[in-house]
Amino acid sequence: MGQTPYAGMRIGQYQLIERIWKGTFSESWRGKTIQAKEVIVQFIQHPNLVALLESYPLKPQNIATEYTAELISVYSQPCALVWSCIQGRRLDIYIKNLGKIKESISLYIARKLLEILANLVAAGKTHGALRSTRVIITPNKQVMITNYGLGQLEQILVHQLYLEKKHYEIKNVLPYFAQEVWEDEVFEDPKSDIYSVGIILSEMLLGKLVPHNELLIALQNNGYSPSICNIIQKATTDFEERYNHPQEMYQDLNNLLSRSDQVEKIYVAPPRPSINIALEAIPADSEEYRIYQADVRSAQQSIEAEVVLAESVEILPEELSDSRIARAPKQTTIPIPFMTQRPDELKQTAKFDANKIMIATIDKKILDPLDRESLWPWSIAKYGITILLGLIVLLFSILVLPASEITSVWLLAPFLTLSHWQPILQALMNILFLAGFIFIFFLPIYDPQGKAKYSNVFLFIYGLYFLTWIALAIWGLFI
Amino acid sequence: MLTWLEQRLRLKEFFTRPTILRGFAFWSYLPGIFCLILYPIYTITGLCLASKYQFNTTQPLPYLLQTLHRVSGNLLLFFLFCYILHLFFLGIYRKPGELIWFCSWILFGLLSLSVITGYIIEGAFPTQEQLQQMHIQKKDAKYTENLVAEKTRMSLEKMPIFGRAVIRLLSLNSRNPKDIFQASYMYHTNILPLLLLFFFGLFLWLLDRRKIALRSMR
Repeated sequence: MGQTPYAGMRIGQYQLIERIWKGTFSESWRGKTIQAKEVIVQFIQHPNLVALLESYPLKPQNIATEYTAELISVYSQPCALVWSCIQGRRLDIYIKNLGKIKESISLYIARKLLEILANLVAAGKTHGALRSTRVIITPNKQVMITNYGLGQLEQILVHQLYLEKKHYEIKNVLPYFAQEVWEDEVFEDPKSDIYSVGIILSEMLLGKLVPHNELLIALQNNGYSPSICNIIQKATTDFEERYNHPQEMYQDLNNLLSRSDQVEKIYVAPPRPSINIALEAIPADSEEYRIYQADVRSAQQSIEAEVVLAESVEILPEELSDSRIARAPKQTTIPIPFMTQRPDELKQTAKFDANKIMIATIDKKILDPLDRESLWPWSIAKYGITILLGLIVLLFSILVLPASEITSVWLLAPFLTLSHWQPILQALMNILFLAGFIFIFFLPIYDPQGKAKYSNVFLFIYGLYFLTWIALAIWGLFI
Repeated sequence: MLTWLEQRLRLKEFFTRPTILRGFAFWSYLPGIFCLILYPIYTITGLCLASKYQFNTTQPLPYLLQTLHRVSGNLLLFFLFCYILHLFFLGIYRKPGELIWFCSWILFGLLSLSVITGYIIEGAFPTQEQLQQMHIQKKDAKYTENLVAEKTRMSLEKMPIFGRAVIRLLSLNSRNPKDIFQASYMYHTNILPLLLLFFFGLFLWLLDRRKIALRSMR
């Protein structure tokens, strides 16, 4: 581990200011550069994770997306990662302060997380170790995630510690990891991230982390609709039955929201020590979603109107230091003029980007079931019509393709085409054919975790491979 | 009667229990359904052709059966390929589904061979137009020329590894067209249908075993 970090310590070009978070495997410090730019320095404390980082070193330029904290530097002595500082507050702080988070806000955050995951999946990546401490809500209502890149190593670490029966070391984080990660050694699968989102969503709704086996009962006891229970169940169920893609869960949440009449907007106030409003919302029909006016009185009204909870949050110094942003930024991204009269008469007005304002609805109806449907009646009808169309095509093919006209086998047409090519090209194409076939045939051996479908390179190469053979077949039919 | 059936088949539960994935995934079952429909069509029409109606394209029923057999075989091949893609995108090939993946490709290979031999058998009976082009009378045409076999041999010669093996298997290098026909006929009507039936059954059994294996893994 090396040197114990302390305030004022220098690591590379960064100077530590204060410790902000003590995690399971690491502790995070606020730091600054010579130019006074804020950074987060994460000291890796767990020896296994240090060893993993040595085996699978993180490269700063590879660890950055627009939704995640950017990895700036990596140090080995002591083992530390320097991340860009995201202005915002951690989700677990909100949960700790507010208890249960309003359903609409929870769904909003879950949907934003799923959007991020869908983007990661599109790039063939996963987070790996998503939990509420890794989710940051920025002042302009964006949801961002931290520790991207490190999460994949944490999956391996959790699996190792589980095998070594060191459950006490991972008891705080284990509920966020799906069973296949810590037991079946399935790493870097988007489904594991979906599981984490399901757990985070339930944590927001229940105000606390509930064991997986008690989740549904707890949700039902708290009066949540079967629809939301179904979605969480589907997200946290066994690997095979779970959502395959973040987009599926996102779509289900959208379906859930679209069945509601109630429309809400969320405004996440910038965390300011002087203002004790953490989460606020205003009705959708006010000022065409653009102007936000809130003071303590209107926040109170919004509570009465069952819009969105705007609990006053006393931000204690300890909590501030617990958050990624301990102090209010000197310049907020949203200019909010404050009238400095009495605190209870404060008014703030700001213009927002309409696209960034979350419009959510709360489900009042039962969606049953969310993920699957029965054969009777619509599935049978849809399949029946399709099969009927298929059989019509079959009969039509018989009519337009007389048997007597067949003189070449289309399956072998690509090779017939090749027979007219130069020998060197023939040899090259044969090698490509063989290599492609052998690789796809033995795919379960090369890819035991079934990740090939997430690789754009793999899909592109095989798309091109099959298109080439189709083109050669069409060519061959005319020879 | 219905109650008796219901007690044994649980049809009501089968039809009303939510088992089909919603959304776009709903359509991913379609290749499998088409395979289940086309495979019996391919087999039954093949049986009819082999037993009673032999290569008579002048009568409507044999012509219909022959064409139905050919087109259903080709469509079956296409939907089997789609089903393999379905296995790929659902990740069914990963542990413990590796054998399903290998079995599906073996099925694809056997079916391809069946389609190829079918074409060669058809090619052994050239049409009047083709015969006229070759200046051969139809009555003397049996086993005399097989354009399809010739083209198949040319194609297979360029196929690495498997090509030569198939040429030897089907005697495509033989000077005697009758040998080619007999070899193709034997494989198409005897060996390949049995192998296809075996691997098709094995495939369904493996799908069922995979569910049990998954449960036990958990």
